[in-house]
Amino acid sequence: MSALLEVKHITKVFGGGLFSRNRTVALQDFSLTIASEPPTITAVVGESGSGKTTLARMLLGLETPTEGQVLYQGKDLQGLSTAEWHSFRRDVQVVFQDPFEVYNPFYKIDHVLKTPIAKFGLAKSQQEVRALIEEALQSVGLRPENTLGRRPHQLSGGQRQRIMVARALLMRPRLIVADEPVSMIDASLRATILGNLRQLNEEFGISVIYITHDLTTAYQISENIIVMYSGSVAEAGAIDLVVKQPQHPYTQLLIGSVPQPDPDRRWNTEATAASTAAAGASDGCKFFARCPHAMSKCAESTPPLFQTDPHRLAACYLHEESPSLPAEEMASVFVGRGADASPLA
Amino acid sequence: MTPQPRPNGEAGAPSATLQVRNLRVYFDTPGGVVRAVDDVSFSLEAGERFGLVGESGSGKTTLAMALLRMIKPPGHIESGQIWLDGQDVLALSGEEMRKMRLAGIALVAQGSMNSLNPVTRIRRQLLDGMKDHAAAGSGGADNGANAAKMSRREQDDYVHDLLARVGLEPQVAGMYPHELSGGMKQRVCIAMAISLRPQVIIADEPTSALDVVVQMQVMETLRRVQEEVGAAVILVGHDMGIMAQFVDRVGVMYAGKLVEVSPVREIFSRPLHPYARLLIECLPSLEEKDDLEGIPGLPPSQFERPTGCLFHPRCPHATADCATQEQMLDEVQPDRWVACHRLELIHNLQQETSVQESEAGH
Ligand SMILES: Nc1ncnc2c1ncn2[C@@H]1O[C@H](COP(=O)(O)OP(=O)(O)OP(=O)(O)O)[C@@H](O)[C@H]1O
Ligand SMILES: Nc1ncnc2c1ncn2[C@@H]1O[C@H](COP(=O)(O)OP(=O)(O)OP(=O)(O)O)[C@@H](O)[C@H]1O
Ligand SMILES: [Mg+2]
Ligand SMILES: [Mg+2]
Repeated sequence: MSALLEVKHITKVFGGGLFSRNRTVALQDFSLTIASEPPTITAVVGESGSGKTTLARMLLGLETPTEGQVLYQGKDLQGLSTAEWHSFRRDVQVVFQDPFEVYNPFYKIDHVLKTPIAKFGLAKSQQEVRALIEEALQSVGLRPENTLGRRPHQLSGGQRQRIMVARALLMRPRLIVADEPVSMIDASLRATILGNLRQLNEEFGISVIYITHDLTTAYQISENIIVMYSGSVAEAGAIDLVVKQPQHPYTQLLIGSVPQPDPDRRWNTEATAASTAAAGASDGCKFFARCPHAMSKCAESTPPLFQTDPHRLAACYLHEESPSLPAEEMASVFVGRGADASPLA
Repeated sequence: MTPQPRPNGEAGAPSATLQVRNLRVYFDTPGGVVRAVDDVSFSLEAGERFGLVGESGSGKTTLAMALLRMIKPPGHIESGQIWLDGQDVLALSGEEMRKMRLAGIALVAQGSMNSLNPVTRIRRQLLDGMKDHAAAGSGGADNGANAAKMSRREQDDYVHDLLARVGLEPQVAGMYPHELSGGMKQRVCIAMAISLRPQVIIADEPTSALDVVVQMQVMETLRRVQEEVGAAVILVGHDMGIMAQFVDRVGVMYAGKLVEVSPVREIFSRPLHPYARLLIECLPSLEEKDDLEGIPGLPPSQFERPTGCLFHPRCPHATADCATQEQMLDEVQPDRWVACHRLELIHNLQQETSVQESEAGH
């Protein structure tokens, strides 16, 4: 059986010609397979500017890769027929990072929710339309009577963000690509919405790509995680392993920087001296300049993915005694639902 | 630190840098009046860092916008007072208010990264922010920044310095907003807000689009700049980790009201208002996996607000009194302000848990 969505060696370069100063390699030789079965939740985390949104946009066919392909059920997105495109648009839903950008300010919220219902024939009567919308709104903690009839600017940031989640849920898709879906929401609602997402994942077999900066919620709902740095995968695998025993120095920095909700556990400000350099095509490890363990070798060639555990890969020469795995096989180390990946003490 | 959340109508200018008294902001909508901010009072000392947290839709952004007098119709400031450095903000003329913004009180708006002009390079936008102000005859520009008088070289230095303060490379100056990631844009906005060294910086979710490493850099930058100029900061946000690391005091909002104002340690270790406590209990950890469950129920309908305490329909401790009588924010312990009828019960519950914990420790 072919995968639901398959990303093969995609690279995305923005701006200018080959030697242009403003050339940005947003994503470099990235591969990922999203199987139809079993449904899983995969977190994508990493630096601001590391290419996460670019990846999401390419998964959705909103951006064309400079190199490589995105396949939907074995077919290149570029070559889908109208009917296949229609089914793709239903199967793969998105929650955008930015709830401010996606709304047409002149449409009422009702429009955002009714359009997909009409387009994909999800309801037979006006009552059914209404019922679907109310159910979706309530599942994200919104009161229909305080939400419908309003325009986007009449809602708070978190309320707008929740409309996007409600819209995606309404469609009962097979995959939701959620780019920071709960970043503007309080902890209680975050738990409610992510709990709902988790439940839908189980009940209706919806897979989720959860792009976020919130490592704590990622840890709570995902089976696997991909840590991005400057357009490339730094580390990937079972989330318990990656969070509890990070192997790549960037992941270590990231996990170590999570602010604790405890005023007596101060965050470690020393680790962040270096600022983020823009991604550029260069030889060697992208993290080289900031890495406390950098070796001369790291500047010379790009480290491949080393399989340090059965369920984890790290792109770092500190682990070169481990066997390396071709990039397109990354998802093969991922764990399924409820699996125990931890050879942890 | 004098919180004075309930100054009993005293007249005249207060000594605090910012003092808000009984502020109400309403939106008139076809369905009825939305009381987005409902009788909110608090004050900030110079240099103090104040966190504003609470349910999505509870009025945090509306409160922030009201402090800058940037509420748009059908919204309006219904009543109340705002004093900034001895000046009655609501009495200022339009022109005076324009000067006050940026130099007196500056905002990093929620989602402000999208308010960057898409067809203008970052360099120009940073310089324009300053220039507008020089033209308005800002008195607060003690940093000597005046774009009109600067040479190209000085302008470059100014722009590069601002960018460096928020951890961005100089070449970002030559880029357009669409060429930047969400996080990079957000940092540009922070650079703009700090450019005229205001007395109060309001940052509405300034880091919700950033990775944790950059979050820390940005918050440390904000802390440094803030300490340098002695500005107070109001940090609006949902990231309780950042709140714990950054602010001195926390105000918790629910349905347009402040329900608790306490020092940051107390909010995290011994929250008193039931909503504050439930919110803290929802925080997930990186150590163990829990069930993801929020506080049951929905916030009150905006048009049919419950009587009594607005939280009573969702409160595990509510009694008949809670459903009929409103409890005002009250200083229940030194420096702790809480609006709740059931504090004795909560106090006893906390005593019990701490006894249990110490027994379990043996
Ligand atoms: N349309 C574009 N034109 C030029 N450069 C772009 C464009 N879109 C993105 N980039 C660049 O590509 C890189 C990756 O951006 P992307 O938005 O994918 O990052 P991200 O990981 O989503 O970041 P964040 O966590 O801040 O949202 C950045 O360096 C960005 O500046
Ligand atoms: N123009 C408007 N017309 C009617 N109601 C409005 C308008 N703007 C905001 N509101 C309502 O006022 C309330 C407060 O909104 P506000 O944006 O201040 O919330 P918030 O606490 O900042 O929430 P979030 O954390 O989600 O950003 C919300 O319930 C919102 O729906
Ligand atoms: Mg992004
Ligand atoms: Mg807000």
